Amino acid sequence: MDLLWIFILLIFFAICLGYVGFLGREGKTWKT
Amino acid sequence: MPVSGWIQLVVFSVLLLALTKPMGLYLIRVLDANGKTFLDPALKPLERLIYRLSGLDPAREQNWLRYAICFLIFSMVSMLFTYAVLRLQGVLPLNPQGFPGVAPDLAFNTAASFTTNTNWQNYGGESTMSYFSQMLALASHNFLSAAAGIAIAAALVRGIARDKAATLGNFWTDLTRICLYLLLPLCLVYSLFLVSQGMIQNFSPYQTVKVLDPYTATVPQKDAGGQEIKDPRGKPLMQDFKIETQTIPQGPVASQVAIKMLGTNGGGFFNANAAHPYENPTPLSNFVQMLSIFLIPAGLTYYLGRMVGHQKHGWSVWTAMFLLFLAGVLVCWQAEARGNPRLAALGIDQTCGNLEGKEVRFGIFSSALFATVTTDASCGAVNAMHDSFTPLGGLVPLFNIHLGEVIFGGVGAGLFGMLVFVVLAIFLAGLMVGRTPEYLGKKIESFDVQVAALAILVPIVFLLGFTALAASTQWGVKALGNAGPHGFSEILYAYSSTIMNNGSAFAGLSGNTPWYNLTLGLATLIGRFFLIVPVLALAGSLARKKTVPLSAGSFPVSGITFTLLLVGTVIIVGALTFFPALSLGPIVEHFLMINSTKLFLGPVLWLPT
Repeated sequence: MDLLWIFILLIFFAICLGYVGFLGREGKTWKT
Repeated sequence: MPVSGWIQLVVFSVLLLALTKPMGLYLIRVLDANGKTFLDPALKPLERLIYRLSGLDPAREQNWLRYAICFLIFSMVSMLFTYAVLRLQGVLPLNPQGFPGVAPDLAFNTAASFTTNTNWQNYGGESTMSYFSQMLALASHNFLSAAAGIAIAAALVRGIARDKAATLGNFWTDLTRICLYLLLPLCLVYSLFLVSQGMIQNFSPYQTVKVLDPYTATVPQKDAGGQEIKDPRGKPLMQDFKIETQTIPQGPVASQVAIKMLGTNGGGFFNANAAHPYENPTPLSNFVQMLSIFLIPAGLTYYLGRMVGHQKHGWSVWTAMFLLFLAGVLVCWQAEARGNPRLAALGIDQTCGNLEGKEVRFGIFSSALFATVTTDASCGAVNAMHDSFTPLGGLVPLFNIHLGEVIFGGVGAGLFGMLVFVVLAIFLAGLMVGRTPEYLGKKIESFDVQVAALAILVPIVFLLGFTALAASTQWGVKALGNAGPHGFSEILYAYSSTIMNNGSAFAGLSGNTPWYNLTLGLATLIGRFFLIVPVLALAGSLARKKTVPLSAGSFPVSGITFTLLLVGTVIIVGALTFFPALSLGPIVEHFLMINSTKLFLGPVLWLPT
């Protein structure tokens, strides 16, 4: 059961990292 | 609405105004990696030691992408840690009551809730959590999640203030300095004050004492396994039980309450939160707790003005927040002071107002003010039960949450939430006058408006979606304590409170079920991270832009016009989005209260049989 909840947690943060990548995909907001 | 209430309101407002500038000036020093504070002699060596041990270069700044990734990884690791501590609390120390490990779904919900500064509690602190869990797993998050919120706000302000810059600061440096120089010293002094008021701070086992006036209660019969015995119709068999003793919980309360209010976390040590005498012993502690919720968020508006070189802008944002606060507290106070005509019809005296669910020692005004303040900010501590407010009195906390808790708001979260509305307001003003929107010399372009819209809309979509799902399934409805519109309000309040990271509850909902632990836990995560990621993208986008010197043609971001435009934008977005849902809940309940003589048992929501 613990693994299920940890899996949900990890999936959520993976989606968040994907969201960061999506919004930063063109590079014009962060490239130096 | 007695004079004493007006005096308290004036004193509260004047003190808030007076504390804004000193707090803002101190924040400027804390949020500058090279800033000097009067605590440097004591804390600078400790700060350097932390950097050395963690291998961190405090001078190395990060772009928004790296800043966001550090924030996400930090949140993920700390949430995993909290989950582990809660699951293992049965074998961990400082557990004099011998509480077992927290159930997996509740541990997930609690870990998500505290990681996101929400502090929604599907448990009773004194009956579930060991002292170790309260301090290490929960109170530590009160510091860290608050510090992370302030760091995000600082990053956005830097993005606005900087000219053609790629970086927003260093997340780890911000986090360290906020904890070390701001939260820890303030909480140390604050908790000593709370102890002076009678708040407890100990590791003693719970005390069992004889009650002065023994009484007999009717309670369900239980078998040897602790399960309720039921009759053939499924109803519990009841028995008389003489109550001669009472268990009085103990614990390290003052240290947790200090950060719970100052960090706008709100998670109570006890289930009754700030209504518990140990968690809010005196009228003075009550007043200071309310003021401390607004202290840092108010100071951050001054920090904004100073950092962007336009102090009047900071004060205009403060004024917009204050006007919204004032409107909320007056409506809530008036609704509660008028009382409930349905109770008056039953012969219950309502001349003192609606006292159901309130601490008599705090009364109507202090309960209404507390409810308004705690939902203006993303605090969520309560000194009265919002579920027992009149429909309009309960609508105010709910609507405050719907506005995004930008009325001073959570520490950091209030400011960056309000700045998203500022971008939106300026965009709308640009559309109205037919020119390119510009904020403090920076052109607001399509990307900025897109991420601002994402920050506002995505959490709202999930809020209304979860509410609709819970209101139309047995999973959601069977946990309700009330039928009809009030039951709907309980569901709406739960998802509003968690998505917007408030944490207060309409107490009638029994949230400790797998459905609510999962969906409310996910709601806290979505509300926090799906807001902050676009906010940081906005910060990165603004930082890269060239700042054009302000001229006569620049859009004014101070003064009455701007303040009213900002207030209007916040209200219109909130009203348009949530008016249909509010109509089904508190608004229809209000009309039923004043016009109907029958209880509403509608077809949509029903009590479980």
